[in-house]
Amino acid sequence: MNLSSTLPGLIVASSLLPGLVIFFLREGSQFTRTLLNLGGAFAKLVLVGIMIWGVFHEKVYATRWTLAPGLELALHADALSVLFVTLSTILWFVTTLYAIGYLEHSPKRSRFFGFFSLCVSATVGLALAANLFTFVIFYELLTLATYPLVAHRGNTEAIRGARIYLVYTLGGGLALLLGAVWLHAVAGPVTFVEGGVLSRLPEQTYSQLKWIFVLLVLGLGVKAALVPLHGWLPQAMVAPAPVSALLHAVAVVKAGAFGIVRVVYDVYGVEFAADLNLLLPLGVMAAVTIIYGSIKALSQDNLKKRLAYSTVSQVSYIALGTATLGPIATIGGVVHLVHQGVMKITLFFAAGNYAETLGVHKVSEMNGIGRRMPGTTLAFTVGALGMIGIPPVAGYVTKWYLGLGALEAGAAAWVLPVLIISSLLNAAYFLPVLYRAWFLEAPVDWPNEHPRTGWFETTGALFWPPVATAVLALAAGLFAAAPYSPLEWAELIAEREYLR
Amino acid sequence: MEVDVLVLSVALPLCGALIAVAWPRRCEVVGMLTAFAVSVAAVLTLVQVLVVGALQHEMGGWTPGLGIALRVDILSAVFLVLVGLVVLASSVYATGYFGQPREKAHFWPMWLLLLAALNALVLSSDLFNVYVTLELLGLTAVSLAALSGQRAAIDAALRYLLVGLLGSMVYLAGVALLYLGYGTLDLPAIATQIESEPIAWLALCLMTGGLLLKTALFPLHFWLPPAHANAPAPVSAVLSALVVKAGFYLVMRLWIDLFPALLTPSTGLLLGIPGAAAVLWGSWQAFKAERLKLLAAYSTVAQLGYLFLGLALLFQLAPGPTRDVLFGGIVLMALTHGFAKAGLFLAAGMVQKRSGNDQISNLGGMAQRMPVTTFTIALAGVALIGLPPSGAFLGKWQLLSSALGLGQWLWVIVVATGSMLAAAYVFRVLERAFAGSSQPDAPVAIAREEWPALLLSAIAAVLLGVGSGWLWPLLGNDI
Amino acid sequence: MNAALLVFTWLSPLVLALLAYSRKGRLLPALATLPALAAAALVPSNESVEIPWLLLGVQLGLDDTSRIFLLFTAVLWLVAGAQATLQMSDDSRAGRFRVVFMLAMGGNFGLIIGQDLSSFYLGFALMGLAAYGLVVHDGTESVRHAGRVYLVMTLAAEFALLIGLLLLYQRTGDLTPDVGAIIGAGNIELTFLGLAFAIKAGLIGVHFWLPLAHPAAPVPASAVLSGTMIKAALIGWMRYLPLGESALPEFGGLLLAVGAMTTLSAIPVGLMQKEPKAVLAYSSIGKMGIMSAAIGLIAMDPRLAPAVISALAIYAAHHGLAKGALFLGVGIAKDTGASWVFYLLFIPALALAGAPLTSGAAAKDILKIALDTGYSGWIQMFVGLLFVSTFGATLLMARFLNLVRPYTTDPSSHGAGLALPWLGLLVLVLAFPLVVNGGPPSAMNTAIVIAGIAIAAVIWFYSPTRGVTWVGRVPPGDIFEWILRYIRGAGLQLTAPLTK
Repeated sequence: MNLSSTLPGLIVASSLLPGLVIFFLREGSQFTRTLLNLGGAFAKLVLVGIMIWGVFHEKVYATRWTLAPGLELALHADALSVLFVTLSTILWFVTTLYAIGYLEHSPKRSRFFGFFSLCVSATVGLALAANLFTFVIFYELLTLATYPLVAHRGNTEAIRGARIYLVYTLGGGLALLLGAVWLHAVAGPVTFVEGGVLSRLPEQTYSQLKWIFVLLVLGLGVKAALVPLHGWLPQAMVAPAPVSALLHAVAVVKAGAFGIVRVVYDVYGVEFAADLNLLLPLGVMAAVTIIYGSIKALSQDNLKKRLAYSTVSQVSYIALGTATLGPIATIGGVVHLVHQGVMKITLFFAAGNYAETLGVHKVSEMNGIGRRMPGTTLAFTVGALGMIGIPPVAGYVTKWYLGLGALEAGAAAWVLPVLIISSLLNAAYFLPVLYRAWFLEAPVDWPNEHPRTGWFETTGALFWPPVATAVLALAAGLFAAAPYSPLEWAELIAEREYLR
Repeated sequence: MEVDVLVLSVALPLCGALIAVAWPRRCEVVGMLTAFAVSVAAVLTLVQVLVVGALQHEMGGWTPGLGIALRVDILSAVFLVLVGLVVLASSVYATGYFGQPREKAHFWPMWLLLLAALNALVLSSDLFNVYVTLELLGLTAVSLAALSGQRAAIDAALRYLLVGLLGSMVYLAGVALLYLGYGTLDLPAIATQIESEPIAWLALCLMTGGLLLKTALFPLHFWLPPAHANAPAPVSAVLSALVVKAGFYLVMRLWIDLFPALLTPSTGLLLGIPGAAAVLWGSWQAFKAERLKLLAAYSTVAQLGYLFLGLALLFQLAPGPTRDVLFGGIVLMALTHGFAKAGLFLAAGMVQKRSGNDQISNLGGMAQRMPVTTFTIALAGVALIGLPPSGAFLGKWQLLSSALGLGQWLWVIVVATGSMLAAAYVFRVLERAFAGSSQPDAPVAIAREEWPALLLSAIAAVLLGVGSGWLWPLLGNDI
Repeated sequence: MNAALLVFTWLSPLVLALLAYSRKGRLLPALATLPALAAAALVPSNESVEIPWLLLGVQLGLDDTSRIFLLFTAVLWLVAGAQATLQMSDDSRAGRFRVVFMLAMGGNFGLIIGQDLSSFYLGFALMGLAAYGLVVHDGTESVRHAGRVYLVMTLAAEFALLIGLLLLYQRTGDLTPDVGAIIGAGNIELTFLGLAFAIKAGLIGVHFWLPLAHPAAPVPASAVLSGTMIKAALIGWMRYLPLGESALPEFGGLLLAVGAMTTLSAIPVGLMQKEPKAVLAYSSIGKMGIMSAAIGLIAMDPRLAPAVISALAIYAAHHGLAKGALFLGVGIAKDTGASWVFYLLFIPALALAGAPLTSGAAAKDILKIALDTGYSGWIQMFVGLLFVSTFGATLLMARFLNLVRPYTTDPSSHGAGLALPWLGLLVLVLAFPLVVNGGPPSAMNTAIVIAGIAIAAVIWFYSPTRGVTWVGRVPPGDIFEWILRYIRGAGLQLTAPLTK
């Protein structure tokens, strides 16, 4: 078998096929389902490992399949896609473990895990997409695969959240589609090339290109939850915790942010986008989102809602880094793809643990929870500190590079204040939670405590995932300058983007 | 050998129908065997066309103009396959759907006649033969639509009958004019002579008008929703997926093959503007529909609108790769809609049979009770909205691309609005299906009825999108 | 070997912190300082170890100045850790205390031996935030208020430091810039670095957190807070101002003025306090004012640099040990109630006042000798300030002893076992002038101290009520508390979101 032309396809298939089989399993066949889930996740890990090795040794991986004249379903592996694929693969593995533990006894598991796998397949496909057309396909598929997950519980609240989610994402998908088709009509098939492809177009197309950019960013901004397109995100947190974790850290929100990175760097080319005066509005949008999300997060008592608004804010760091011209800011934006994912997934796992083990859903119920669940709370603490940007958790690396990038680009006058205010606000909504958890007295009874079984504060399948991701978040910051670290990859990407 | 296959497509179902009438006790077996054989013949035809190109067969050796000629090119071969597969799947479904021997005895002969009429229509290369097949098609369709014997069904069927007859008559008038003017009814023969003159214009208007009435293009769609919504499920599937599509197929054939000499870029607007209106109106009505089958029927109105809208764009493009690609997109949309709508109607039939009615408000918990059926509806929905990876996604991409390339934003807005409305009506159903998880009903599984529908939807939502790359360049050669 | 020592200096508190939560780990806070002590004793100067893969690229090492800092810092953490173990044996929250204690310790050591920007920033942030856990340990309402103020100011300092370091790095492009490379800082950079360190040092205007936080913490924590942690400001100035290479007349003058005002204002406010620990806190502010003013002098006149910097290190060591001993003494006095503790407290009190033959006198003499390398009106003024400070410190110490006296009414000699580490620290304070020879006692200094003692004695014995009218007029946290009261009076709740 020729790996160089099949590997990207195999990576997508490694979750797609198990997912399809899972749909047809009976509820009771837990063993088979778990085997398929973990087998797929593991296979994907191995395949991605091969791919990293290959890309590092300058092998080329590309899977192509013609759908229609000029429209090619193409997957390839460049530095940026490898970064995102690796992130989603690792976090998928952890989230699968977590979800198996989380949904131990609930109904509709086959359906859940089926869509769960589809969701990851779509994310991975989107990461590996080699052209805008393929990206659009997987972007829409992601919407379709996540809708049933958000609606999973089937109660009024879930259905309502899912509907809002759908309205936003389908609307966004339409905008993206229009932008992509228009671009296709103007420039022909658009392949992602480091450094961008549009600068060669004649000057009379520039005004069209601007409008296309607006459409594309509108479409991507919905998933990336840029204000004012963010309305779905706080509603979608009705989903079960593993879904929220996936939505916020890997799949949906990240897909939007990743798309913005792709469009700016590999379609327009960052310098060309700057020439068209497109970056400043994007940057301002991101900045507004960062501040707005943080302010909204301050007043949320529901823990998952607070985390959701925090996501709104944090993901825009990526857009901010993208909108700031210069390689250093690129590093900051791209590396936050990974950092935000790892940290936020930790927070959502922890929130899920609180809800599942103790019935705690609100910040005001978290008094003294650190004593009852020290491991989970420690993981939560690491995630929260990382979000604020306290070293050595990964977040500080992002902030350092974004700040430095802003200085290089001469945009410090507005980027730095945004970063600092956001960090302060992050501190203002996370630290009181930590204070409650560690320093206040625990109540006599928790809202809905499950009896303790076994050694840990909760079941093993719930305990280890947040701990593992917290360790990852710490490691990403501690060993930022080590080879193969997210930061090193981001530097590689930035280098290639600015090579031309 | 080549010849045999073409003739078989028509002859087999005719013979099957006769046997079914003669041997009512075994009509189901006969019907199934026939449907299967016809599908195989259709696939064989497609393979032959792929290998050797367009085929023509003069029955009995008479030359065109006098005898019955059958002609097949890639476009008609593809439609043959669509007809074959949809009818086959619906037949399998029908074996479970119709329980009473009396129903079966009424259903199968008509069903096979309908199949014969469809195949003959697709294969005819002679305008009068087309008229004959149209009449046969209309009559069988009406009798099938009235099969349930309920009051509403019979009312709708009667209206359908009248409209169908009117349409055929108008069409026939156009044919007669052409015969007057050019002395032949053979399609290729007329196409070489035709010029832009009043008689040709009048013929075009009459023939198109008659066909549009049968195709239910807005505002001539009024008869369609009740007829399609009240027929038995397998019949609805074939009516919505194939029978109206036959009208569209003919319009496309006439406008592209027969009358290109008459057409200016703006002539297409005659089809495009009602098409756009159909998209909006049909989608809106589907969104408001209370019943699942009614929703599906209005959705057909809307989907047909896209096809005509596409034709309007097509006529504005100069011949060349862009036009070829758009043509491929339109064909793919038609195919996708055929498979998807058949799947949707079959699934709706499942719902109706299981819960006694198909009120959308009663669908709560369906995702758990009938997971396969829900999945079928979801896949069909994906294709109807035009989301990837369905064939309709590629089709819509081409529509939008052409409209944007021409700088005609109005079409873009129509397509975009239609898509959003489609999403709204599809997810209105799915939302109900996912909601209300409290019912503890065990899931049902009736493979014979669920799987055909699922396969049809899957073909529409996945296979036509992912696996149709080979078809496009071939279609381009046709026009 | 040296490399390993340096690494363990940093690593051991952080890693052992993970084990310190359980009761079995109660000796760890003291033990974790041992590598630091060994490193301070054994690692030769100007040897450094580079760990390029850690953080953004770490370099650990010692020079002559930082060796002194590491030495007294490690000693103080050792003694405080040991006292904490002895005195908090029946506190149910001791485990949590140990963990944050050791994290702060790790941060403190890290910022001393870390020679690159990222490890300094990490140390600064880690120390500041972990110390929040020390401040709020007792959990009462007043303590929580102090904790909030502390936290906000610490974060402000941290973010100011981040911006300052970003600007510095952007300018120099070097994570380990030497003094030569630092020359040429812009005003913005100086402002942010200055602000960060001014907050940490408790200079006037941003000092108000200090008298709230230091008394609020448990005694062993107060000892390290006042004894070592605020010295991070000193290290920061020494490292990131171009001291000795180029003159910064405006900045130096500003620092001198602010330092002087800090000292002059801290003395009267300190005298009005009701709490012995609050008196000590104001005394710390005063001393930090002196040290900052000295930095200002060096910034104005580079020729002073080498001598005065070493002298300042010694001065900081003296102050750290003496202040640590005073804080710890308060705790022992309260715990034992024994009068021998009161008498022993005279040793560090006299040292802090700068009485002849004590460490204070020696440190001050060395500072004065070092200042003789230059001559200007500013230096004369500074020497004058030193005298005023001596006089003020004497009065403050008298006030302090006056306030401690009521706790120590038990004439028996019990409790010596509890105070063993403290006694060792007192020995060090006593031995300090033997190691650091400051020359013969200065008559002027002696006279001032005696005058101070005399005045204090008069007030103490003859009119104990005269000062009472002033006592308590100014609450700890002076200006800020007044502002806060005003705001509360006006019905505004600025801190409301933080309490959620």
